[in-house]
Amino acid sequence: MATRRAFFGLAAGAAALASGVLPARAATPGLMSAAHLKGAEGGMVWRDGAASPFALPARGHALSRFAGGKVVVVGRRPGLFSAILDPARLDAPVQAFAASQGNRFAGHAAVAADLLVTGEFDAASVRAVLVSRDPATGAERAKWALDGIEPHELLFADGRVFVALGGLVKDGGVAGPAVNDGPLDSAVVEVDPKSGRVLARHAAGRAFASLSLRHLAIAADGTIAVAAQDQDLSEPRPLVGLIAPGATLEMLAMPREAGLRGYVGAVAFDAKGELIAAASPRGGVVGIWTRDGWHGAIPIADACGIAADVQAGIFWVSSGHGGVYRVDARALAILAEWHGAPGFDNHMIVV
Amino acid sequence: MMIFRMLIAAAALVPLAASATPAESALKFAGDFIVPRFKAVSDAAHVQDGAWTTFCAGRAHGDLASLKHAYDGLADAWSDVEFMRIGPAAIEMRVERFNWWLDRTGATGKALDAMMKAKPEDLAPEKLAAGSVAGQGLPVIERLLYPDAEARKLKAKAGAARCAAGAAVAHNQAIIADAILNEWTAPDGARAALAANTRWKFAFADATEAASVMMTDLAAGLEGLKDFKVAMVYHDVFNAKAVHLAEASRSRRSLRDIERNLAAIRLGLNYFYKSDKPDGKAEMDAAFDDAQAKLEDLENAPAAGPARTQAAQAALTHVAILAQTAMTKLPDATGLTLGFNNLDGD
Repeated sequence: MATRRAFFGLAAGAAALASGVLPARAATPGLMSAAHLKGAEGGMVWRDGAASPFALPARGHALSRFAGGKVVVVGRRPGLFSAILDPARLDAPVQAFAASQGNRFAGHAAVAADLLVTGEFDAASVRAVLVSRDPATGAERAKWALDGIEPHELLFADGRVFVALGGLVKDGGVAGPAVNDGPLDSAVVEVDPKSGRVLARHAAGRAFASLSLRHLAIAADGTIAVAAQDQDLSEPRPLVGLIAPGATLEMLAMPREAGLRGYVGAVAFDAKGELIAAASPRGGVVGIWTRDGWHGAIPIADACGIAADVQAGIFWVSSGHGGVYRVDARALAILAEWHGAPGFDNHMIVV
Repeated sequence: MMIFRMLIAAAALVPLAASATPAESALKFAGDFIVPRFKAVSDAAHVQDGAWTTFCAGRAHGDLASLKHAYDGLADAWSDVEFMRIGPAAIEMRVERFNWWLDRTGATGKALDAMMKAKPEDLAPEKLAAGSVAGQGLPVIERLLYPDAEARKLKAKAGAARCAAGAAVAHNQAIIADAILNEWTAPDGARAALAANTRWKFAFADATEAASVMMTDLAAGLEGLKDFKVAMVYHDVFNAKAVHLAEASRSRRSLRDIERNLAAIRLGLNYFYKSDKPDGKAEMDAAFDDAQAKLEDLENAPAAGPARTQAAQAALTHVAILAQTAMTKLPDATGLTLGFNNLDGD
């Protein structure tokens, strides 16, 4: 394991972050995450070993990368803004755009060759809305109401948009318990991005009615990993499942002692699509599954952002305490770690 | 609110960390705050365990007051430290098993019913530990003791099963409390890891990171106070005919638990403020004072009616302001990073 070292030269404010660098010899991909630093909202990019900050008008959440290299950062639920920016030109103005009339962003977007869709919800009713946008500007093209509430992560697969409908009713901000009466109506829906028509719906079943299905990842073969948060901790329940192409959602076994405390904040496949990593900041662990079931856990305090390395079995993990970790999922080991001052938000991508 | 005022007076005795490093603050906080408080929980859990053993050995003539006194002692001790989830408390769902509530589905009642029908071997600690968290902690004990009519059933002819369930849960709580304390104090425990400035399991990579995790626990404690405690008191006041959701509403401890939480978190934060950032501490103290004042107003409000609803709403508002102030002011006032993935997730 690498020696703990500072890679952000924190003094005060985002500008100081630029002076801190990852060790030049460290073999790191470009990584990008929304981040919070001493009251300033923005994010960080690491490229060629250098750490570069960028500012945002409010708290960002998840990021999605266009094929051309630009990135859309979506405002954290209940968000009013999103922004398109170029991680190679952080000094250039960001292309900010607002949520659709009466809506709030839910923190995530999905991108394809010529498509950008954002998951939004009606500010009054929390009903889920899928908004199709111009990928260059974020301008709204069309929007469709979905049959459900509180959309969260979404992604493109096989020409469809898969949307996780979390099903949570919350009062105002994102913290705090859901106020749903009775079981959650949470599901992953497959949507035609041209018409907004719901083509299929995947729910976890009655035995898992307390699960909020919230985060998604996709493997090269089209299998989708679904990660959940459990609103009822009285009994242990599985938190990660798979939707194989053309199949229904199957939850993967997870032992009681896994330590995820009913909560997953992000999920990713490794480069080969054989391993699934799901981070639980509440448990302070990154859980690892094979496609057949539980593999083990890697302890990292406040871990949440996860991105696959190009090397199979290797993930990058960020923490809310300013840590960035390179982990070996098969060996359940931290290979290297760096620590700085930014509080990284829940999601991290490779750019 | 006399207890609150006494605890606040104690908070003033903790010196600001004038030049302490985060690692030094973390070690001092563990030694002066976390470990003694979990020791108090362990002691109180053993008192409760003993009280149930004694009571159940002679139920007909048993002293119900001894059980209630033990329950109050343990609930007090737990309220003084429950928010410190770093390390041993977070393992094996210990926090949830010790005191799981916000029971929307009646899980505690179902778990208790199942225990009363269970064979003796099914009440063994290892069996309880593998079962529902709703059947392992303070809410089960509370249901057996409150309201008074429930407690009297323990002395009735048919009360043996209730007594066995209570004794099993009390014993289970002592085991959980011992596990938390031992993993803090063992030679290879969390406190030793802080002293050695090294990793301890999943909790922290070193003592510097531990300081951030500790402060995040304190800030999360305020968030939890708002969302899971004061908000539920407001719910119960506003929806008088609905199922009560506030913590410990049967034993009428809800506000007592809140005031102890508030005082303990305030005391805990004093270990991390930087002396060269007095403004941040001053803003936090003002927010604590406002929240405390509104909780006092709620405690003194009429038992029902618009005035109580208004007081509950004001208390919720000011605890929310306190929690928000913590989110925005603590990083600069302490020089530590708030790990907000754990704090507010999404």
